[in-house]
Amino acid sequence: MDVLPMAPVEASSLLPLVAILLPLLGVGLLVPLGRSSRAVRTGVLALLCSLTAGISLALIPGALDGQVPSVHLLELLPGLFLHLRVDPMGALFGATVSSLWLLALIYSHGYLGESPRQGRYHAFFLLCLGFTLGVAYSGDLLTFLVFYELFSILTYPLVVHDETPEAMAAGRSYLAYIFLGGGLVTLGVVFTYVHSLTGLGFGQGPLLTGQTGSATLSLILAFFLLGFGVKAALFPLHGWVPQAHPTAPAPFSAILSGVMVAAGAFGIIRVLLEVFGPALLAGMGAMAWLLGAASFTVIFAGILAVREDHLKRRLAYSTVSQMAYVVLAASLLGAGATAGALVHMTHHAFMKGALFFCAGLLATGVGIRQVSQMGGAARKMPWTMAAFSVAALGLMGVPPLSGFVSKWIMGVGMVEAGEPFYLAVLLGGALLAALYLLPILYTAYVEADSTTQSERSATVRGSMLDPTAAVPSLRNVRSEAPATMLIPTMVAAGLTVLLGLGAFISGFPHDLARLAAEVVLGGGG
Amino acid sequence: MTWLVWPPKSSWAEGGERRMTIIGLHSFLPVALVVWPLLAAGLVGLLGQWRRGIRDGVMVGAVTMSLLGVGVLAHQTSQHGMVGAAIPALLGNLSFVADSFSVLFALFTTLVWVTATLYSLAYLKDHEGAGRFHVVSLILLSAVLGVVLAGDLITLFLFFELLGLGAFVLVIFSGTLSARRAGVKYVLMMVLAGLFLLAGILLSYGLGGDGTLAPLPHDAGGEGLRWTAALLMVLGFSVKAGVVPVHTWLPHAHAAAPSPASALLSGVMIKAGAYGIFRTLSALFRPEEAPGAAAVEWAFSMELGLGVLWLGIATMGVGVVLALAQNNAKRLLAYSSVSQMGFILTGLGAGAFLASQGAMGTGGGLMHVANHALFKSCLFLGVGAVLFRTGHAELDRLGGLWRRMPATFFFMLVAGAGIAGVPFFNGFVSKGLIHHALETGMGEGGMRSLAIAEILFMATSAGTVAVVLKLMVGTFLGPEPEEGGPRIREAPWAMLLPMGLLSAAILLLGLRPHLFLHGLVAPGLHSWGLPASDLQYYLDSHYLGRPEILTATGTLILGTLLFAASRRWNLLPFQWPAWLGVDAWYRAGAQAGIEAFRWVADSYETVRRLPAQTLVRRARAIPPPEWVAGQPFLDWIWSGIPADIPGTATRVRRRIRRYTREMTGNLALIFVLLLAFLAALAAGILL
Repeated sequence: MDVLPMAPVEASSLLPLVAILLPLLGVGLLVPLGRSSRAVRTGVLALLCSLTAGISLALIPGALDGQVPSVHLLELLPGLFLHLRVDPMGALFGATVSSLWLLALIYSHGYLGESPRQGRYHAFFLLCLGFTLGVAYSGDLLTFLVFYELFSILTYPLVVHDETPEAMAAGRSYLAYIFLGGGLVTLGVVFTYVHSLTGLGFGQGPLLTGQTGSATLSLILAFFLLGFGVKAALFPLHGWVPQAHPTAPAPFSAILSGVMVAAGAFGIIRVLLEVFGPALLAGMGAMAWLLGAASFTVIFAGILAVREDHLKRRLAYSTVSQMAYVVLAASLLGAGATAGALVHMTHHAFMKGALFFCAGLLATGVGIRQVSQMGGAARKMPWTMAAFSVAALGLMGVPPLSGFVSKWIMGVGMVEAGEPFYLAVLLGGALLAALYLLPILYTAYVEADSTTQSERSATVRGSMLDPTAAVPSLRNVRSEAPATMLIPTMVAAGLTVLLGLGAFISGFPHDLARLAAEVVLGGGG
Repeated sequence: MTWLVWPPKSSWAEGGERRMTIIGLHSFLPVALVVWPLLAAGLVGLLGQWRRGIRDGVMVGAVTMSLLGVGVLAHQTSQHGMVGAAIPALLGNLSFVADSFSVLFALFTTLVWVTATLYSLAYLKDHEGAGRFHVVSLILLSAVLGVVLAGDLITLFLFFELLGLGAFVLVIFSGTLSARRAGVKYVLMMVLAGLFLLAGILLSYGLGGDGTLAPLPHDAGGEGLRWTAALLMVLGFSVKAGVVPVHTWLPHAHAAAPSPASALLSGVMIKAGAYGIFRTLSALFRPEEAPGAAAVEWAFSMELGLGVLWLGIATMGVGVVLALAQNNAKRLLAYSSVSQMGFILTGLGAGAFLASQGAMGTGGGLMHVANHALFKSCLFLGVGAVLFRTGHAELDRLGGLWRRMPATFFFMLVAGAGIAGVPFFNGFVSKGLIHHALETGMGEGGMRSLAIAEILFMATSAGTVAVVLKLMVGTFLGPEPEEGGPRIREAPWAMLLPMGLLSAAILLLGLRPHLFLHGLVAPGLHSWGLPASDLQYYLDSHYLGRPEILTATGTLILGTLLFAASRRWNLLPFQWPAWLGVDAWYRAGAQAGIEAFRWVADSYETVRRLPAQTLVRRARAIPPPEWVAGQPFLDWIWSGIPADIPGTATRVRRRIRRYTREMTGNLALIFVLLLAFLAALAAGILL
C-alpha cells in the first residue's frame, strides 16, 4: 500500500447485492424450515450467514487494490437509483457487520434453546443483517437512508423479543428515539438533495459546497448530527441504549452494541467526510459543539457505567462511551484520527460482542446478572471468564489487544491533527473503562462465591421436595456453557487478540481504514 | 552476516523522511530472550502440580538459560555495540534492541531471578499456589526483559503494562485481606501510571518523534508540549519506581508478597521504572549529535535532570525516615527500597544535569541500580528465611538469631554492608560516584543550591546505616524471644545458596568496580559519543582513596550514633500524623472521586426519572414574567404550554400521556435543545 491508486476504479459487480440478498433469502427459507429441527435450521442459516460473511470478506482485497464494485438497481426517483458501492470504508464496516452477525447467529442457537418465537427472531435477525450490510455498501445518501431506516425499524421485534413489560417499555422508547432520529436524517437528506450540485453519490468529493448559505448548511448539519447522534448514542440522545440492551436477548445485545450503535457513528463519518468535507466544516464552527458533545459523552457515560451494578447496562453505558470515541476522533477530521475511528468501530464490535456473549452465558449458566453477584464466577465458568477478561482488558486498552491498537491510532491521529488536548479525553475514557471493568474481574477472580440466583432457586427447590435434604452448594461447581455458545464467545475474544497482534497484516482493519481515510481526506495528516 | 538497520522498515509513524543507518548486529537473540520465558511459562503451567519435580527442574533450567543468554548477548553487544531484530506485530514491528545499558539491566535481572527461583523452590515447597507463582514469575521475567530490551516505545510500553498488571498476582498471592487491599491500590496506581506513560509517548509524536528510542529533535514542538510529554513519562515511570510522592503502593505491595516475590519486586521490577526514567532522560531528550551539541540542545535535558535529581533527594529522605519508623522487617526493607530509588534518581538526574560531563552521575546511578538489586534481594531473601523458620517478621518479636542462623546472619551482614556503603562493598562505589557527581554539579555545574542536596544525601546515607543496624540488631542480636527459641534451625541450603550467590556478587562489584563501569557503562556512553573518562578518573584517584574512606567512616559513625540515640531515647517506631502522609490525601481524593461519581449518576437518574408531567407541573408553577403578563398573545402561549392539547380524543390523549411518561427527561431535553437551536438559527437568519 505504498503507492496509492489515485483514482478508484469503479467496476460493475453484483457481489454486494448478493451479500445483501443472501440473508433475505434466508428469511424466505424460514417458512419451509419451520417444521425441521432447530439444528437443521441453524445450520442452514449459519451457512447463509457464512456465505454472506465470506463475500463481505472477499470484497476486502479488491477494496485495497482501489477497485470499487458498484451496481445500480431500481430507480427510486428520476435520476436517483438504489446504488450499491463498496469503498474501503464500507468494505470494513460490512465485513465487521457480517462476521459479528455470524457469531451471534451461532450463539443464538444455544441461547434461545427451546424458547418460543424463534421464527420471528430469526426472520428479523436476518432482515437486519441484510439491511445493515446495505448501509455499509450503499453508494449514495438516499440508498443509505433507505437501508438505515429499514434496519432501524426492523430491529424493534428483536429488542422486545422477550415480551416482558420492561422489554415492551424499552421497545417503545427505542421506537420513539429511532423515529425522531430517522426523521431528522430524512430531513437532512432532503435538504442535501436540494442544495447539492452533484447529486447524492458518495466518492466524488463533498456534496455540499460553500455556495449554500451558512445558515442552511448549519441546519443540514444539525439535522444529520442530531439524527445520527440518536443511533450513535451521543449525549443527550443516548437514552435508548441503556434501556434496550439489558432487555434484548444477549446475542442481539452484542449486535446492538457492536454494530447498530456503530452504524450511527458510521453515518456521522459519512456525512462529515462525504457530504460536507473538511474544508467546509473547518469554517463552520459547529465542530466545536460536536467535539464537546462527544468528549462529554465519553466521560459522562463512563461515570454512569462505573456506578451501574447491572452487568448488561454497565456494558451498554460502556458502548455509549466507546462510540463517542469514534465520533470524537472522526470529528477531528485528520486522516490518522479518522482511520483510528474506523478501526475502533471494528475492534470495539468484537470486544463488546464478546463481553455481551459472556454476560449472556453468565446469566443463563449461573444466573449472574449483577456485578455484585460475580463473586467466584471465574471458578464456575473459567472459559467464559477468560474470554471476558481478554475482551475487558482489550476495551481498557491494554496492549497488545485490539483496543490498544485502535486507541493508539486515534491518539497518534489526535497529536498529528494538532489537538493533543483530546488525549486527556481518550485516556480519561480508558481510565473510566478500567474503573468499570476491573472491579468485575476482581470480583470474579478474587472474591469469594456469593449466593447467586440459581443457587437461591436451587435452595427453594430442594426445600420444597425434602426440607431435610442437603442442598448441593453451587460453590466451585463447574457449570461451563454449551459449546455452541462458548465457541462464538471464544472466537470474538480471540479476534480481540488477533486484531491487536496482527494489526499490521494487510487487509486487516488498520490497512483498510487508513486507505479509506486517505481516499476521502487525500492522505497526509 | 546481516546488519541491523535502523529504524525498522515499517515503523509506527507514517510518513516522514527517515535516515536508514546500520547500527549493529542483526540478531534474534534479544527476541528469543523475551519469548523464551513465556514459552517456559506455558510449559510450567501445563506441568502444574502434576509433576512437581519436573516442573521445578524446568523452572531452574528456564531462568538459568535466560542468564546464559544474557551472557551471550553481553558478549555480542561488546563486539557490535547494538544487537537486535524486529518481529512484526501490532501496527508494525516490535523491535528488540540491546545496547550495553540494556545488557546491564538484563544481567542483574536474570541473576536475581535465578537466585529467587532457587530460593522459591524451598520457600514454597508445600504451598498450593507454587505453580501459579512460577508461571507468573516467568511471565514477569519476560516482561522485565522486554522492557529493558525494547527498541521502541511501544514495545517498552507493552512489556511495562504486562509487568505492571502481572505483578498484581504476586501482590495478592497470599490472599489475605491486607494483601488484597494492597493489590487493589497497586493496580489502580499501575493503571494510572500506564495512562500517564501512554499519554507521554503519544505526545512525543508531536515532538517529531517516531516511536523509537532515538533522541527527539530539540526544536520540534512547543516548550509546553515538550515539558508535558517529559513530565508525563517521568511520572508514569516514577509510579513503578516508587518515587515520592507516588510511592504509596510500594511498601504495602512489597511487604504483602511472599519473600522471593518481594525480592523480585524490590530488587528487579521497580528497576523497570528506573530504566524508563533513564531512557527518558538520556535517550529521548538527549541531543541528537551529542559530542558537538550546542548548549541550547542540552538545555532541556539538563533542566529535566535537575528536576529528577531533586525528586531523587526527596525520595531518599522520605524513604529512609519511613524505613526507620517500621517494625515489620519486610516493610522496613520496602521503605528502604523507596529511599534507595532516590539515590538512583539522584545519580541519573545529576548525570543528565551535567550534560556531556555526566558520566559519574549516570554511571553511579546505573551502578546503584545493579547494586540495589543485589543487596536488596539478598536482604529480602534473608528476612524471608527468618520468617520461614520463626514465622515472624516483626522486629520486636525477633532477636538473638545469629547463633541459630549464622549463615543467614553472615549473608545479610554482607548485603547490609553493601547498602550502608561500607568500603570494599558495592554500595560504597555507587554512592561515592553519585556524591562526586553532586559535587561536580555544585562546582563546575554552578548550581549552588545543590549544597543542600549534598547535605541531605549525606544525612540519608547515615540514616541508611541506622536502618541496616535496626534490621540486623533487631533480628540477630539481643536476647532471644522466649517462644520456641532453641527449636529454630538454620535455613535450608536451597535458601542459603541464593543468598551466597548474591553476597559474592556484592563483594565482586565492591572490589572490582571497573568490571562494571568499564565493561557496561563506558561503552554505552561511548556509543552516544559522550566521554567516560570521569569514570576512569574516579577509579584512579578517588576509589578507596583516603577522603572516600573517611567520608564513608564518618557516615557509618553518624548512622551508628543515630541508631544508638533512637534506642536510648526510644524514638522508634514512631507514628506519622496521618495528614502528613500523601496516602491520606490520595484516599481522600479517591473518596471524593467516588462521591462525585455517585453524585453525577444519582442526579442523572433523578433527571431521567423526572416524568415529563412533573416538568409540566413545575413549568405551570412558574409565574409568567413581566413581559409576558398582560400581553394577550404571549400570555395565551404561556398558559398554553402545559395545557392538554384540545380537541383530541381521550384515547389518543391517554396514549400521548403514557408515551411522555415513558420517554423521560432525555426527550424533553432533546426537544428543548432542538427548539433552542432553531431559535438561534432563526435569529441568525433574521439578523
